[in-house]
Amino acid sequence: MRKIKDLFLNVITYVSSSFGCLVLIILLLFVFKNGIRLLDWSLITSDYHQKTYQVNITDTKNYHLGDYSDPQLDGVYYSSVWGIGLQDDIDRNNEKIVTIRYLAPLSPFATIAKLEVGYQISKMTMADEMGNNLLALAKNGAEPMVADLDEAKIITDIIATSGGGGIRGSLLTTLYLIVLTLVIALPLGICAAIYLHEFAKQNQFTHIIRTMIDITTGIPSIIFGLVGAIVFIPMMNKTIQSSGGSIASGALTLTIILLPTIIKTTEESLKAIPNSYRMASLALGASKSQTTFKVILPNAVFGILTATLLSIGRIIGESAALIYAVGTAIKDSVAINEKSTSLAVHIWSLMGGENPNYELSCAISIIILLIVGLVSLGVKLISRTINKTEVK
Amino acid sequence: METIFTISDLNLRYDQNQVLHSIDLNIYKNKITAFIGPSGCGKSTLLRCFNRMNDLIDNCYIDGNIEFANKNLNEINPIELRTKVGMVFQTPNPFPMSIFENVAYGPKCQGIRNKATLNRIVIDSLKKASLYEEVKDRLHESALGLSGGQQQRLCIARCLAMSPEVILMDEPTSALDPIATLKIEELISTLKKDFSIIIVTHNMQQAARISDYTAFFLLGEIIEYGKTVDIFKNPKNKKTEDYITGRFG
Amino acid sequence: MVRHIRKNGHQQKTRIDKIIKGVLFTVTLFCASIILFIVMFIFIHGIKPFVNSYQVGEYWYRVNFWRFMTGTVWFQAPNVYGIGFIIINTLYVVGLALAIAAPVSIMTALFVSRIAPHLVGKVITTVIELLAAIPSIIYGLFGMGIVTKFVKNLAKIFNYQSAGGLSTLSTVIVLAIMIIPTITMISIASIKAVKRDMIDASLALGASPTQTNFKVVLKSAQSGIFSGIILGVGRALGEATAVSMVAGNRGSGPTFNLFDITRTLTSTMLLGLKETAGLDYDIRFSVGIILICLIFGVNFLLNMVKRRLSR
Repeated sequence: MRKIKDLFLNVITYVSSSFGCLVLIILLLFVFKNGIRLLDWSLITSDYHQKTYQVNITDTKNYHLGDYSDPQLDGVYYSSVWGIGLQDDIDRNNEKIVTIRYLAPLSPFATIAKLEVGYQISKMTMADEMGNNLLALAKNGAEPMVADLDEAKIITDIIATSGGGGIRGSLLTTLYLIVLTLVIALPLGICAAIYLHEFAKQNQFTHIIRTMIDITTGIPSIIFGLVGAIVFIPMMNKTIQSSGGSIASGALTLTIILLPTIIKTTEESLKAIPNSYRMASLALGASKSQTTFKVILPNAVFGILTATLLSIGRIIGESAALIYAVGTAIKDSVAINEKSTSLAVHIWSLMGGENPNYELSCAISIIILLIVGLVSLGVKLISRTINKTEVK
Repeated sequence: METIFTISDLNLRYDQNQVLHSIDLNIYKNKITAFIGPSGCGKSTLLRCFNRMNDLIDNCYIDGNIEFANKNLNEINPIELRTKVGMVFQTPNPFPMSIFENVAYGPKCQGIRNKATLNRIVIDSLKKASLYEEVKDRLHESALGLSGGQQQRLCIARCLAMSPEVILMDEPTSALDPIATLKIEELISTLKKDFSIIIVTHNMQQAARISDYTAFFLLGEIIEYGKTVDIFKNPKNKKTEDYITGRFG
Repeated sequence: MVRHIRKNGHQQKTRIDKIIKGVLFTVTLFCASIILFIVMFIFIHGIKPFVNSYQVGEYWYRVNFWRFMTGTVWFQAPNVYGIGFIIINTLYVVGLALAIAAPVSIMTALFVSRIAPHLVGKVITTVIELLAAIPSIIYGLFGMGIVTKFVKNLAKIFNYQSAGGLSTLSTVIVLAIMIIPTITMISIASIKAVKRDMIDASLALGASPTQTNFKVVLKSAQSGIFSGIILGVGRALGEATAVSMVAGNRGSGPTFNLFDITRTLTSTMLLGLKETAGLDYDIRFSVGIILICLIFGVNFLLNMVKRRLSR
């Protein structure tokens, strides 16, 4: 009887543990399956907003139609009349498009319409020898479009787009946020940690200060976002001439979110430094400040590194606070005194609204997860190195 | 005189480190047997063999034969064995529960649920452990509120609640003050009627005071084993004599 | 050599020390007072809807505080806001999430520290650490993509039409998944800290390893495990992004139906953000005040319970 009960309880623990593993696997599968298609170099380097070109090729004197040689590319429908190779594709917003895969150097598409390889054609209105109108739409595919092209003599209207769905702007924003926040928060946090551990008397007052810093960790990030919105946004508006949210206000908001973590982590590493170092330095006639900056701080490097990595991980994942303190407008040109979105907020913008873009969001998630994974690995490696040196 | 434990040619090692060498020993029923010797000579390790607590250590390898009541130890289910062979540890380790719950823990694990029965067992055990009078008014208060000596008697009561045949004691008084020690020594002497007791002790005088048989250990071997009076008055081995007279250890 | 040390060098050192200590102290004071600033600013701004008047159309309005706290409808033009039902929904959702997460976490922690072979334990610990590091926006994405679909199909089985899977149940599941790593990691640490002594005593009394785990180990670790739960509850109450993506946007309530859409304090603050000024914007700060009070209140209550338990 007892053995059955024991077995039952043990099975429960097995099942519970597999729940966590199951969730992780499903989540990773979901993210990778949906996002992997879009994951390529151009995702990182292209703009989010598309540029639209509306051109025509009607000036028959300045181009000739003829025999542009076929480069024989796979899957590409080629019009030797116009020297253009088109391919069926799906863009980052999950819509069917036609992409230009090849342009002969003298093709009128290149010389007159000034389009380039990689652009997408959404619509073309053409006329053939007898003046009949031909309309080719991207959603009908590349093959009919090329067939129509072969008949056409002039093209009265081309609507083409380039770029779109890239995350270069958000990636840059995230980078700016990280650097700016660390530049402000690390010195502040390290100073506070040094004061608390090296200089302050361990009395009631210090205890109160510590408790107040501790309470700050329990506050959800959205509250920090609210504070950022009413404090830092107006502050930045006045000082660096931003209007509304900006990367700067976001960085300041992130600073106050991260300070407790930085202080705690740095203090931990200060605690690990043997007191004998301090004694030795003071006994040599060095002042407290000299001891702190020449002896203690260099030995706390690992702790500060850990604090940095933890902060980077937190910044990349932060969404709620930035939605309030910066905004949700996705931008391609990024400046510190302007609104923009970090990677996480970019996902928020993509998923809000009528047409949530799962694929692009998952692709961005893969990038976020990779960075978070590297950060976690970094933190673990550092703690292992510290432990090794301590054991010696 | 009945033998309750028989050990023949027992060898024990942790990985490559041999801790017990060719131990041969008979433990007699309803007697108090003391293991004495300097620290690190394997007394506690041997003690833990009797209730197979060494099984819990990964790199411990045992060769040889131990018989409990004429049955090979390896053929008895360890959990069942531990209901018959109880153990009291060096540092009192009551559970973070009430005094009542501590003593009732063992019986409850064996499936005894009847409140009246549990009540009887708890009071009986506390009385046998000479603790009842001191705690009868606070049976449902936390055991951690007792003094060191009281906690150790509680651990003995907890052990007695299982009605074991043998009680193993691993330096039970080394963490206690002299008065508490004395109380526990008195208790051990009264327990001899109903139980067989094996006690590991650092304190030679304690062994001389309360035990019937004594085994002297040195570097994992039994140097001498016999009636306590004989060991202390007429030790046969010079090493025993040296230890007892304090020339080393 | 001694001649090279200037006589007033020592005085200078002491002066520098004092200056540096002063600077560091100021910085520390600033860091500590952040919490005060937060409470102050949110309070000032969040009080406005009840104290100042806002112009909507032709008239000037205030919001009635009592109706705000007890209201069952979020917004009725032009000036009626109510969060009473939202508070109930929030507590309901977090309570359910805890009911799922706490047992799973504790059992997982027990498995990892006491039952599993060493290597398996390490693997699962790494899995839990990875789950803890995943940002909430990705959990929200996961919720929208997988959890809502699951709930939608589940609702069909019960013949209930759900709003594409956005529902209380989805919120509960996502929150549970998010707080399991927190509670598990702290529980693992607490269980590992149980003294070997205690475990040996239990085994020596003839208890089986499983009985020892459930009766003695969990009891000894209960204080630490409860701390983990308090932390998890705090996290769940404050979670905004993930919840906003799976909860729906319920206008009135409260609702206890698992398949209905719902609304929490945090989702109220995040959803429907249109302007950055005006009554609709400022009222979110009022919601923020209530959220802070709720988190502190729940924390305080749970800590009292914890103290009672460890006696």
